[in-house]
Amino acid sequence: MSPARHLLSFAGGAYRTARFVARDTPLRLAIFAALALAAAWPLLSSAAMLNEFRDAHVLGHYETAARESILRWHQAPLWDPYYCGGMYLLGTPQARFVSPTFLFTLLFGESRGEAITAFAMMMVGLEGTFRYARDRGATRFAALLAAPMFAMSGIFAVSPALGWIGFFGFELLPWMALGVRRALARERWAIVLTAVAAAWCVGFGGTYAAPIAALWCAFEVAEFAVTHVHGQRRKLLAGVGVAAAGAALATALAAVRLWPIAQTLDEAPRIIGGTPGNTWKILVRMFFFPLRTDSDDGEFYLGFFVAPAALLGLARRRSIGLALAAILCIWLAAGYEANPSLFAALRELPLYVTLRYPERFLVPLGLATATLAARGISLAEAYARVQGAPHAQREGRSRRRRVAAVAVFAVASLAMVIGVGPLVAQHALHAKERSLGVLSLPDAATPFHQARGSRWALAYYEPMQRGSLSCWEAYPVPESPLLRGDLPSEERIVEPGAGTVTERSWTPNAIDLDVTLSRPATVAINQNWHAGWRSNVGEVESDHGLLTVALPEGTHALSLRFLPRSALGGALVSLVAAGALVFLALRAHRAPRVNTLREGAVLAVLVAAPALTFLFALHGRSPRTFAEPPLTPDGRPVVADGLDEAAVRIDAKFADGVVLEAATLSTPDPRAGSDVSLELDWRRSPRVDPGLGIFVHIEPSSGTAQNGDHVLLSGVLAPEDAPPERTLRDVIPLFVPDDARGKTWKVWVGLWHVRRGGSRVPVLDGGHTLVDGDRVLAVSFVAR
Amino acid sequence: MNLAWAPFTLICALGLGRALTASAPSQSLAADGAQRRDAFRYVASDEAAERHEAAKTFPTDLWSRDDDFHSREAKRARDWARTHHVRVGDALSAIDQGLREHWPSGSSVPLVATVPPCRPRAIY
Repeated sequence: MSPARHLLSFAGGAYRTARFVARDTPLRLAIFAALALAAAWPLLSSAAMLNEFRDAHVLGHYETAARESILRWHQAPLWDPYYCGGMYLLGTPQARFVSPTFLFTLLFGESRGEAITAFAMMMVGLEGTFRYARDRGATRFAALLAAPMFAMSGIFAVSPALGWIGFFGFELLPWMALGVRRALARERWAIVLTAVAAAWCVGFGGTYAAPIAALWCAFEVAEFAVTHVHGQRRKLLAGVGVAAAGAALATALAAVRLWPIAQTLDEAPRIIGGTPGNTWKILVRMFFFPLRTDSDDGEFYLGFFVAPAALLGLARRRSIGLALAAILCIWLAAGYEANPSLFAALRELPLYVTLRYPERFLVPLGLATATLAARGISLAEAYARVQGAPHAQREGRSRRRRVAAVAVFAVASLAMVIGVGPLVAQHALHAKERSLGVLSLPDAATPFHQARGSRWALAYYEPMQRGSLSCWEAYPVPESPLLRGDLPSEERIVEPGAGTVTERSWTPNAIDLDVTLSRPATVAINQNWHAGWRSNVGEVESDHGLLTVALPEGTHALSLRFLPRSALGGALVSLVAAGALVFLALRAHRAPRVNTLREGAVLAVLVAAPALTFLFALHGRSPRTFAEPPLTPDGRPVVADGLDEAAVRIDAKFADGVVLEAATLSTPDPRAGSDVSLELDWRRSPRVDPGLGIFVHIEPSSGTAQNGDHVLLSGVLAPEDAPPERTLRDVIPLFVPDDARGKTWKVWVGLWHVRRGGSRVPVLDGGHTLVDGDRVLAVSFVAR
Repeated sequence: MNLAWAPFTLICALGLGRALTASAPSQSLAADGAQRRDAFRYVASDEAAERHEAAKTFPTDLWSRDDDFHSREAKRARDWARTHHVRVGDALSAIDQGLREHWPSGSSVPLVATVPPCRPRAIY
C-alpha cells in the first residue's frame, strides 16, 4: 500500500473512531474529562498553594468566609466581618458560593476547591457546547471538535491565574442557550435546564457571565420570532410563552442571590465612567493570537485553527443567525471605538450600565465561532459523503471533485484537532505565570479583632482572626470612617462613664453582649451598620455607618443578629421555585411538551407561585434605614443652602444647566510636598443630563500635569442624584508635588459626559474667570 | 456500575486525586518575638515615605492613596518575610500587633489605624 493510502486509511479510521466516541455519551464525557484534565493539570498540581494575585485574595476570601461561616460557626454565610469592616456576604455580587461547586470548597478548602472547580466547569462547558452545537444542526463529529474551541478558550486560561473563577460561569452559557432553544420548542425539561443553568450562573458570581448570557438568550428568542413570524403565529406565541416561563423561573430560582445583590447595589451603586474601546487590531490579537506577557494578546484565545471551519460554516444559509450573533459580539467588543457604539447603547439599560470592559463580549463570540465551525465541519462532512456515495460515482461525478470535497473536510477537521494543542498550552502558560504563596495555619483560639489589614494580602487575615479594613470592591462598599484597626475591644460604650460592655459570644451573624448602663447610652460595635442587623433590646442605629445600639438604663443581655429580609425572602422564593421546577421535571417524563392551553395554564400557576411568595415577602416589616446626609471628606454636608463666606466666586455657566459657583483652595499659597484641598461649589438646574463627570486638569508652568477627573461630588454623590438649586460642595484632595516650588499652577475645571460618549459640556459663560476649550480656570497658585 | 462510565470516572478521580495530593512547599519558620518587632519596625518605619509616594501617584483621591500605600506595605512585609525565611502571615500579624500595642516604629509620623471608605475609581 502506498503511503498516501496508509494515511487515508488512518484518517478514515480516526474519523470513524471519533464519530463512535461522539455518539457514546460515557466515552464522549471521558474524552472531555481528559481534555479538561490536561488543561487544568497545572492548577490541580498547585492546588495547595495560595494565588497571590490581588484579585485572587479578595475573590477567594468570599469563598473562605462562606466556608468558615458554615463549618466553624455553623451559620448561613450571610455576613462577612473579615472584610471592609463587615459586609453583606450573600449580597456581594462577585461571591461565587451559591453554586454546586461550593461543595468542593466545603470539602477540600478554598485553594484546592478552586482548582477542582476550574476542572469541573471546563467539563460542564465542553458537554454544553457539544449539545448546543448539535441543537444548532452540527453532526456529532463536528460538535465534538468544536466543543474545546469554546470551553477551553483563552478566558478560561486567563481567569484562574487572576483568581477570576466567576468567569467560569460562562461555561454555562451554552446550557442556557440550549435551554431557551428547547423551551421555544415548548419542551418542559428545557424550562428546568434554563432555570438551573441561569441560577447557577448568578450564584457563581457571574457579574459579566449572567448579563451577557441573558443577552444571548434574548437573541435566541428574537431569532426564533423572526423565523416563525410568518404563518406560525400560534407556535411563535406558545414558544415565547414557555421560554418566558423559563426566564421567570430562572429569576425566581436565583432570588436567594439576586435579591441580596439588588439590595447591595441599590444602597451602593457601582459607578462606571470612561468610554472604553478596542480597535479591530486589538480584538483580532485578543481572539486569534497566542498569549504574550504585558499585552492583551490571547486573553480570549481561540486561535487561527478554527478559522477554516468557521468560514465554511458561514456558507450555510441557516447560519445567518449565528453570523449575526458573531457580528453583534464584535460590535459590542469594540466598545466606544465603534461609531455608532452598540456598547454605549447597551449601557443605557439598567442592568448593563455597570459593564466596564467591552472586550468581554469576545467570550460569546467564542461560542458563536465554535458553533459556526461545527456547522462548517458538518457541511464539509455531508458534502464529502455525498460526493463519495455510490450513486454519485455512478452519475459520473469527477474524481477530482470527490478528492476536493474530502480534502476540504479533512483540512478543516485537522485544523480543529491541531488547534486543541495551543488551547491546552495557553492554560499551562497562564498557570505558570502565577505568583504562589503558602497560607499559615488558622489560629482558632484568637478572638476576632478588626485590623487595618491589607486587601493586597487579604487571605492571610481571616486565618489569624483579623478583619481587614483596607478594602477594595467593584462597588463602593458602605464603610464607616469611624472603624478602627487598633481597638483593645470590638465593643464600647460611646458615652464615657455611662457603663460597661462585655462580649459574651461572638460569631459572624450573632453577637451577644452583657451591658450595664447607669443612664441611657449607645453601644458601638466596630463593624459596619446594615439594615439586616436586629437586636433583642434597644434600637439598632447607624452612626456615620458604624453599627450601634441605643439602650435604656439598666443591665441588658444584648443579642444582635444579622438576618436581612432580602436573604430570608430570597431563600423562600428560591425554595418555591425549586419546588415548581421539580414538579415540571417529573411531568416532563410523561408529557414532554406544553401542547394545550390547560398545560399552559398549569405552567402559569407554577410561575405565579414564586412571584406571589416574593410579593408576600416584600410586604413584611420594612427594615429601618438611616438616610445620613452625604458628607465631604472634611465632614461637612455636601448639600448646602449657599456658599461659605470665604468662597471665591466664579459663576461660570455650563450647558446642561450646571453652574460652577465658586472654587476655593484651602491654602492660597501651598507648600511643595503638602496636601491641600480644592472645593468646587456647583449648582444644578432641575433638569440635568445623567452621566455627567467633572474633569480637573492641574497644570504647572513647567513639568507634568496632574489629573483629578471624578464622577461623584466629594466622592459620594452623583450630580444627577443631587438636589437642584442648592450649593453642592465637591471637595477633592490635592497633593502639591515635591518639585512644585516656584512654579505657577493652574487648575482648569470642566464637565464631560463621562458615562455617555465622553464629550465635553460647552461653557456658555465664563463668569469671573478665563475659559479655554470648554473648561474654566478654577484657581491658580504659586507653590512655596 | 456500568463499565462504560469507568474511563470518565477514572479521569475525574485522577483530577481529584491530583488536587488532593498536591502539596505546598514546607512552611517557613514562625517568627519569634524579636523577629516580630523587627518586622514591624522594618515595615512601619517606612510608612510616612510610602504614604508620601502614594500621594504623588494619586494626588486627588484619598482611597486610592491609602490603597496604594497598602500595596507598598504588603510588598514590604512579603520582602521581609522572604529575606528572613519566616511566614508572610507572621510579618502581617506583627504589623497588626505593633499597631495595636504601640510598638516603637521608627516612623516620623504617627501610624494611622483607620482607612478612608472604599471608593473604587470610576475612571481608569
